[in-house]
Amino acid sequence: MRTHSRTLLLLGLLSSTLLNCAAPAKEAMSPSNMAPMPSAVSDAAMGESSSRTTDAPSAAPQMAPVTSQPFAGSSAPTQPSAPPGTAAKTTPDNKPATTQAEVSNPDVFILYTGGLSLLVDDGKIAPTTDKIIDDAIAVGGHIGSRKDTSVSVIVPSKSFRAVFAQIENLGEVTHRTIAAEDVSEEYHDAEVRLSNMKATRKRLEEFLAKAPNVNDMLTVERELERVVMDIDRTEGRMRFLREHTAFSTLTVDLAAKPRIAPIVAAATVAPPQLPPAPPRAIDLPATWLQEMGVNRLINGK
Amino acid sequence: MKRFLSLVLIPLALAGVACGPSAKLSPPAGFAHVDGEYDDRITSPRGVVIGARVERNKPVANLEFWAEAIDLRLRAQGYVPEPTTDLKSKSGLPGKGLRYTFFDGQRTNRYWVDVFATDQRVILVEAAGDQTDFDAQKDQVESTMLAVRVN
Repeated sequence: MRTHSRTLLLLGLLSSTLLNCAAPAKEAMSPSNMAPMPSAVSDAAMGESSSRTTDAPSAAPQMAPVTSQPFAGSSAPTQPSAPPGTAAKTTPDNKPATTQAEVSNPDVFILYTGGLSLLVDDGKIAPTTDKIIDDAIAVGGHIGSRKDTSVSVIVPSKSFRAVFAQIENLGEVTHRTIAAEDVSEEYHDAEVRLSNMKATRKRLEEFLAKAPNVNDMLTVERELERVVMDIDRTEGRMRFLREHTAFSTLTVDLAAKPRIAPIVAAATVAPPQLPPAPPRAIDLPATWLQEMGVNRLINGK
Repeated sequence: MKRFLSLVLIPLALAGVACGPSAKLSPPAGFAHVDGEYDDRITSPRGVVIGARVERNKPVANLEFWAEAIDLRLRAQGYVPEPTTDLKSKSGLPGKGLRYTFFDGQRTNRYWVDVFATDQRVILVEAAGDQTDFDAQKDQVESTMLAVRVN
């Protein structure tokens, strides 16, 4: 009877643990726990990914910084004169201090992917590739891959826009792609789930310490093992999101500009040298005209 | 008697009409008269030949007309022309000097034509021969051609 009551108590604890773990993250993130989201980032930060592709050359990309504005805590207004996506803060010399502010917010996790197709002067593909790599390294990035006419660099997300603009100036842009995927919601769901699982683990550990018999210990241990695995998996996913949102991938395809050859008129093909046409002469009613020439004179007839 | 006159005089009259004017050449040294279908024809031993004849100016045309007609016909036969020159015969007739070179398949020939024209007649003086022999005697040839007489 006593054992039975303990078993019921253990089952009740486990069920409450399972309920906590399975609780929807959105419910766990009650409005009181969430900071208001600035309207400027609402589109991208609501868990939707966005991308843009253009074929015509245009201004520098405007996508990236939009989603990186602080949205937890203060609702810093964006200056009207600032281009879309730039942060409200400005440096003393009145230049937008965008990049630092964009990524300083630890609550925003954006996966950036950019692509560019450039036309460069003939023979400049290799030097341009080197320049792209140098630009990436200069901001703390590194090369991802390199082929004869394409290169992929991985740059810190905070420098994504600046590097993108630098590379655009290296040639004639024929195609541009920028994709930004907001994984903030996934990250925060995982964060809440992790917190709950850690609380569960703590309770299970406490219960394990007080387990009255081996059977109860084994049952709790199995449950504890499962919770620990979930914690590891969630932490791994969160680590992945953090690392991949800290850096962005930029792929550049290079091609040589078509050579503009001067238009040269095709050489006129000289007609084959034919003997000059004999002069046209009508037959006059003077038969003696037909009786002229060397042979007739020498022969006398 | 009448019959005799008709038998003698009529052929003479017809012969006089048929003969008309004819051209005569004065052969330089080393040339001799030879027969041929020309009014006059002379030759050197090496075959430098000069012939002269008179044709009717019909259709009636001026000197330039006949000079060009001759030139066109000779060119059509492969005669290679040299520049045409204006001439005047020793008797005072204006004329044209047509000069050609002609390769007959074996040798290169000179062929000269001096053409003079009156209202009724076209006087032709031709000269031909192997280029080498002709050139050796061309002064004599030229002088003889200009000295043509029309009787």
